[in-house]
Amino acid sequence: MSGIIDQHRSTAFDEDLVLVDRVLEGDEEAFQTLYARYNDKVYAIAKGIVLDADEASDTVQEIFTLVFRKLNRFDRRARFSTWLFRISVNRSIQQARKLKHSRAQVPLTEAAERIEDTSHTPAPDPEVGAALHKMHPQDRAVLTLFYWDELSLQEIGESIGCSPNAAKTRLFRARERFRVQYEEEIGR
Amino acid sequence: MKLPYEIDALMWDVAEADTPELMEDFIGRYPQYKDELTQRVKMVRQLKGARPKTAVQHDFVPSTGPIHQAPSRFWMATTVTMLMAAVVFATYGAINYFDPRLNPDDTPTVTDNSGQTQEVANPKGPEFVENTYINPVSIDPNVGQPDPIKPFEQLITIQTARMSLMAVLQSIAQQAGVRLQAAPGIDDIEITASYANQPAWAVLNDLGRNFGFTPLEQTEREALLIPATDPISPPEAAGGESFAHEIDQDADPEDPLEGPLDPPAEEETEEPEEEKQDAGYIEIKKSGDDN
Repeated sequence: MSGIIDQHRSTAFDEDLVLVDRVLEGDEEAFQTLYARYNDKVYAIAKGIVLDADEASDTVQEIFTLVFRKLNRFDRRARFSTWLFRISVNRSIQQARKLKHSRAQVPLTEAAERIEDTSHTPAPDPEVGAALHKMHPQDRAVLTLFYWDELSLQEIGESIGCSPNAAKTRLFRARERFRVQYEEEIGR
Repeated sequence: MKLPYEIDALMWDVAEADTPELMEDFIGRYPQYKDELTQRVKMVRQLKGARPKTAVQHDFVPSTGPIHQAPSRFWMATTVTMLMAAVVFATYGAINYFDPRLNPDDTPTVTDNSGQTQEVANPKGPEFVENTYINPVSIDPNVGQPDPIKPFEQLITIQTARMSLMAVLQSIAQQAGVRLQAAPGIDDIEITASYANQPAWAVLNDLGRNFGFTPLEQTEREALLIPATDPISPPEAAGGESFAHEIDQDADPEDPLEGPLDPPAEEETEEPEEEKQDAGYIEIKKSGDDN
């Protein structure tokens, strides 16, 4: 019995929550720790959805600023990382929609070159970037969370606000759409 | 290439695992899908490889400026609803403002032959407004409805005893919602009249025949009363004999009590006093007759 309780305590312990409490008490260093811990993943989400490195960096700053200001609204029903990823996905999709019109007028080759020019990306396959450009931000969000941040279906579901089964379905569809676009790009 | 769902899902799992053992096992089972699997493995590798490796790590400095946030759906829906309501109210107000039927000049009035004009207040209140052609509530009450009753076709009831003609005309104007103008020369005599649920125009004609004036319709809501009568004009179904005749036409011919009878004798054509009261009658009494 005590073993079960100890096991529960050990799994329930979440270092992020300790950091959140410290931030709420006014310790800004604790937020720097959270930022360093999740910056890469949040950037990957923003980059995968927004597709532009500079815009993604700006979006990451906005996301962490939002989290810092609204941290008192984190209700702890989910893990901090899930709450953070959800904000990241929503904020990035908003940003992608804002950029959609201007991006639609940029030729795909130019867009692919712009991806290659970024300092954060080590020359990815241009066909991948072009295929991602043709997809909806929601589809890009699912692919990003699964392939780049390597989240489980449960975590993806919590991050985009659906059940794991729905997340699995969305992932399947997004992957199929990506495959179609990718094969078009490589001329298959 | 359309694949069975199970093989499709299995191929994605193998491509994402990207281990030689699993790939060899899959190709051993489904050699026809070797090219497809190879393509997917390459695609997944490219997709995973497109991940930005590291973000530039700076210390986090929270922005002090406002962060633009998209309005929530609730506020967007509320705003759209309020805008639509404003448009509806503005349209309603504009229609009411420009509706000629609500022109204040249309107030029922009677002008007697001395030139004095009297405005007639709305005698029936809201019910009068709803049941006549003046309807400020609905935008277009005639859509899909039968033709509205014209003002001079309004059914009116006059029960007077020794009342001046001008007062009777004013009562007609009130009830029908019309404007009557009496030309000079019409005597304001004292009359006794009784009409029950008769059209206003028929009542005016009947009064005119008896008191020496002729109503001339000027507009849909205005009539001029001139002191002259047409001696050859046929009587209208407002009272007296013509109205009694109309009652007879309505009688059921199959009913033995109401069916057509032999032509009555001359002396029997006069109706009893009570029947006159029901059908409508006029008693002419000039102002000086009492004396």
